[in-house]
Amino acid sequence: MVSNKEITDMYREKSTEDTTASGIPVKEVYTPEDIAHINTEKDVGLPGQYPFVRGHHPLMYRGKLWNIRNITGLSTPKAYNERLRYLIEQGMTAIECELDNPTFYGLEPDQEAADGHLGVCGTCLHSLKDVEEMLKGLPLEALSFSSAPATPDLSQAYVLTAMKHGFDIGKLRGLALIPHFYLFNTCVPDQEHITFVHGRTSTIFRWSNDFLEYACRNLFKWNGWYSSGYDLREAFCDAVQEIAYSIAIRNDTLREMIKRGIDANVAAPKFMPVLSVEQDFFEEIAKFRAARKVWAETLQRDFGITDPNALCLRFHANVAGSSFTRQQPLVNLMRGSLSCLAGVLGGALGIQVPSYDEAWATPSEDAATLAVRTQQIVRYESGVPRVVDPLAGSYYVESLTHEMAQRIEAEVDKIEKLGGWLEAMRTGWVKNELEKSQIARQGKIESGERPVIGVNRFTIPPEEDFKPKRYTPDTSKDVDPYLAEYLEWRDTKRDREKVKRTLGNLHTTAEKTKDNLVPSVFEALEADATFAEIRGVLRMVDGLEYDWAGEREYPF
Amino acid sequence: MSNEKTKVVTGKIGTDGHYRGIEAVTRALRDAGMEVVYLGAGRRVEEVIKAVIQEDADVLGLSFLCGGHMQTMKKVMTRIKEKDLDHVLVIAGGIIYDDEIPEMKVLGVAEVFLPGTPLADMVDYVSVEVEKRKKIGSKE
Repeated sequence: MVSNKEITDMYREKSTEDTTASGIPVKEVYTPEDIAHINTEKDVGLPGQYPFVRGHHPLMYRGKLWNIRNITGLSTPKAYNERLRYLIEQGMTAIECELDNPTFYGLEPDQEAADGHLGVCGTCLHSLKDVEEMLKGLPLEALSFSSAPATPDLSQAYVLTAMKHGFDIGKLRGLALIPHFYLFNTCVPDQEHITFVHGRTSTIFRWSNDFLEYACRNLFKWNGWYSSGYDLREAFCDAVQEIAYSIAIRNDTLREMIKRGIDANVAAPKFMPVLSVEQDFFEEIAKFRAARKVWAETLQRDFGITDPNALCLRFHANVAGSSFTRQQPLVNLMRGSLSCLAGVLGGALGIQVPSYDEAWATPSEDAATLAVRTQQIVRYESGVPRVVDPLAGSYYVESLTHEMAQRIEAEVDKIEKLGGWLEAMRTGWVKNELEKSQIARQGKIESGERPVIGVNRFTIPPEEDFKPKRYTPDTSKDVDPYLAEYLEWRDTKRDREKVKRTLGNLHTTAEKTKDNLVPSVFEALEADATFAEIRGVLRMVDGLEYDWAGEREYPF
Repeated sequence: MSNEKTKVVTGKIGTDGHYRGIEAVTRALRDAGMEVVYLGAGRRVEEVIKAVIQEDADVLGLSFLCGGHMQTMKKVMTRIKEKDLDHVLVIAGGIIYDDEIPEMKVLGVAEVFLPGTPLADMVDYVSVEVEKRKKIGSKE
């Protein structure tokens, strides 16, 4: 029973927070004095104009609403095609395809390391044929496709599928993320892996740059690969670090494109980061506004970019999956809507809201639908998209935006002085910074300093808690037949000579470090080489085991 | 025996890169005075078993956030038994459905920790269980 003293204390409870989540001190009240040092015309400006604090477009959502780009992906290409059609019918407007682990790691679906992972946590895609099946009947020119593979094989298969169906690849909209390039080396100690090999960047890493170069020259509407601030944030960095690291990664990659002879004005608009939205409402909004400012200013200052289109940051925002709790899971719906609102007020081009059962299992169809509905409430019922950047001029928001911009810029400069992002990662600096951040932030949750409803406040016994419906597909209906069909195709139906020849060509191209790998990969994909075979050949070029899990030998 | 430091091996097996949870647990166990060897993510079953033997570990802690945990734990527990490592306290954590917890325990997993478990609870559990096992071990 609650005591009278507790009732009195609860009634009198006040907010005691005097810093933002990233540790920026805040006052109780903001007045015109707090923005007196900001030059409204120069430092804030107008929407769609340098330095883009107020948004990437003069009309923002009155010109085009943000994309409802929820992360989806399940079981087999065929089942996923059905789920996609269902969600598009329910109002999802862009695709972010989640992959199962064997696909992500470039394994064959029948090998031991894939056991238990096939079609779990994402869809399984192992060849051009699978990608065609996944996209069957979809109007590719009218969609925007994104995915988070570790390598460009899926993106290349997507482009090939579009070509085969007669779509103009110059009109394809997409976003191929390769966030884990920038994380692998921070989480797997003492092991040769994807980004660095023998102290230098790997051939697989080069392939990503090759694909970005190809995209710059051919895929005019495709936002090229770009690391994800979201993943760094989920690795526990704070809002300031998230943006600074995203800009540092952009700088490294942009320098690489310039070295390859691409005009910085052409390459820069290709970078579209995926950023995170966590729970600190105003800090997240100020972060997005500050991000656009520092993004534009550093491109102008450090790269001499002049085209306004190339200076402007466009980003997609993922509501942080890690903020969704297993305890009292329905409460996650409220977290999702609040963060979605922050993303909209921050000017995101697209938003992903996780399903409320995120911390339980693969989302059920009902939960995935509610995640779409959450965005639709903000889109159609809240009235929020009616006016561009409605928080502009708020003493607090402008002051916080300005403060965050200064902190982000200082952090970017620090990494540049360390020799750039890749160098900072190679030396372990990044890992160390993430670790410091992680200790500080986890400590706040453990001590209760950062309240998490259902976890450290207002908890209830697990047996009284709501349990989401478990998504338990009958694998005998999709995954098992998929695997049987795939193996039959791989082992008996392919033209083995052709596969062998094209993989041999890929190997030869890869050995010539100046040649672009993209055409050879296209050739291999068309010859029915599997994603695992393509990646394996590129690993062999670096003197690594053919198979990441050490279970398979090169089959040719 | 009980004045010796508790030795723990932690890590992630296979294709799951979500390392934040296991790193937080690793740190909490270290802060509690235990000797923890963290293997990182992307490890193979054999590598983990080898580390448990080499380190003469009292505890093995594995984390799963991306499915496949039943299959992987079956393999791990089979190897634990084959190598006579039954004295090792094996614990698992992550995104595991309620129904699967009893199945995990049948395999020989001592305890399963779900998202949101306070680190202090996990540390207490490990300290108490290791102490119990050491007492049993010294009686035999």
